[in-house]
Amino acid sequence: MRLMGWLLVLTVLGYSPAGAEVILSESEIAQTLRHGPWPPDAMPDPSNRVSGDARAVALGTALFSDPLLSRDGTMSCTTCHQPALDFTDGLARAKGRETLDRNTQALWNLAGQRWFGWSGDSDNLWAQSLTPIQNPLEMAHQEGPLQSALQDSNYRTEYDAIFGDMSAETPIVTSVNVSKALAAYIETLTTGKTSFDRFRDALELSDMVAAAQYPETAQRGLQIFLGQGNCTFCHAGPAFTNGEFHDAGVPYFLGQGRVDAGRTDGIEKLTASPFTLDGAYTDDPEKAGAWAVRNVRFQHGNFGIFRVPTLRRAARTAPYMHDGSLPNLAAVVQHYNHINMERLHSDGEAILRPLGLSDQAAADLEAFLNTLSDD
Amino acid sequence: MIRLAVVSLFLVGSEVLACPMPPGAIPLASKAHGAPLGYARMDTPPLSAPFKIEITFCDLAKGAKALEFDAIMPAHKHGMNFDVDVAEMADKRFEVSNVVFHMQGLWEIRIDVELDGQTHAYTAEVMLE
Repeated sequence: MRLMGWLLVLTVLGYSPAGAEVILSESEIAQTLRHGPWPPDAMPDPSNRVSGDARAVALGTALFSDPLLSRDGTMSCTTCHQPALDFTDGLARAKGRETLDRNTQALWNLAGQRWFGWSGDSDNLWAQSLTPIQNPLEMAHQEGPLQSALQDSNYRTEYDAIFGDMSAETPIVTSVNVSKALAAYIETLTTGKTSFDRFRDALELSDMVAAAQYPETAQRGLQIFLGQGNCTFCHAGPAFTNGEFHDAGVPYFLGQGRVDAGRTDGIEKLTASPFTLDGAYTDDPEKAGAWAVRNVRFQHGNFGIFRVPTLRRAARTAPYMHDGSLPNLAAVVQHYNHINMERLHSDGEAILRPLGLSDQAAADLEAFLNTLSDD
Repeated sequence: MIRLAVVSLFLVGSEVLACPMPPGAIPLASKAHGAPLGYARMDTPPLSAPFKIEITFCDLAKGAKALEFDAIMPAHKHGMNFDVDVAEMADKRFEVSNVVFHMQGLWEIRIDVELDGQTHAYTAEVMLE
């Protein structure tokens, strides 16, 4: 009984029999709990009538890797979003028909997001899936030729079974339906529980013995993430993103007098698009998410800022930032450690400042980030 | 999980009696002498998702109209990424919808309202944790 009593005391104090311990304060534990639970419940997209339809997921999976979706049969979605590379390409900037301006983002955990792409050009996943098909610098397929290619393809029977007779619809509707099948597939790409999630879930259950299995270096990194680093302000919630746009102090100059206007460009494209949740192609009669595109605010500070990416699986998707300018997570940590304040908007975030982390602290922060990718 | 912190100045006196606040309501602060009392009511704000705030003014003698609403994070020097929608629900009572606080921390809501032809400015603070 005496031994059991001591074990109980040690457990309450956060000590495990192996000597590992939970070093987070109560406040830090409360903050940590807000980064879960994970994974979230799968919710169908009301703007996409084939969301969650197994037939559409299968069609989208097949189309995702088929160069039929490109004008000349030379490219598919997997050209940039390679499944073996966590749906990235490993390049600093994506290579379409020429080198593009931005880094290829992974496709994990996109279901339920409000904005898509680095600058939020789209407010739904099917519109975002349509963008590279139509972009002249990527797959460059126009609506008529795409419909013709599909009519003569092996996909015709399955397509008609899901969406109805293709020959009775306009080419633009076929393109939108293709993008909805792709979205039905992409929204299934969710990451699993990581060692961070097991730590977080153990904290929620007050199981300090289990929580203490989480490496102390990662716990120290988490403390920096929640505190000194201010990382959690933008990388918030279970997906480690607040889904909005911020200035990370990364240059937006593209050379030869060109700039990447980031969110400013994104809002212009979004509000000009016929494929938003407020448009005619949504399948949601309630237009539930349309408030965002109706109410999005043009602001001077939008220039050169980019969407906060999720940190889940981030350790596997180098290089980083919108322009792929940072080769690894250590470089990202050092970017914020020595951030160039002159690169920040004068009216931008006031929370960014050089962190002044020691080598050990920087390694701890990187160790924590790695625990978001070990599922 | 999320705590509403009221840091605004609220006069305690006879005027309060004319403006009985429901439990949990946040008083609106005004630096202008004689500004009618008012308060805001809301459910616990979610992070980075739209929610509604109900604004009520209490001076029965003055008609209210043309309410404008905004919110900023003073420490971060930025505001909201969305415009809100304002609807007059009843005399001197407004519903502000599609309010989105996209970061945790202290938000300052700012309200301008026209009462009998005179514009009054109010603030209140909301902590999103």
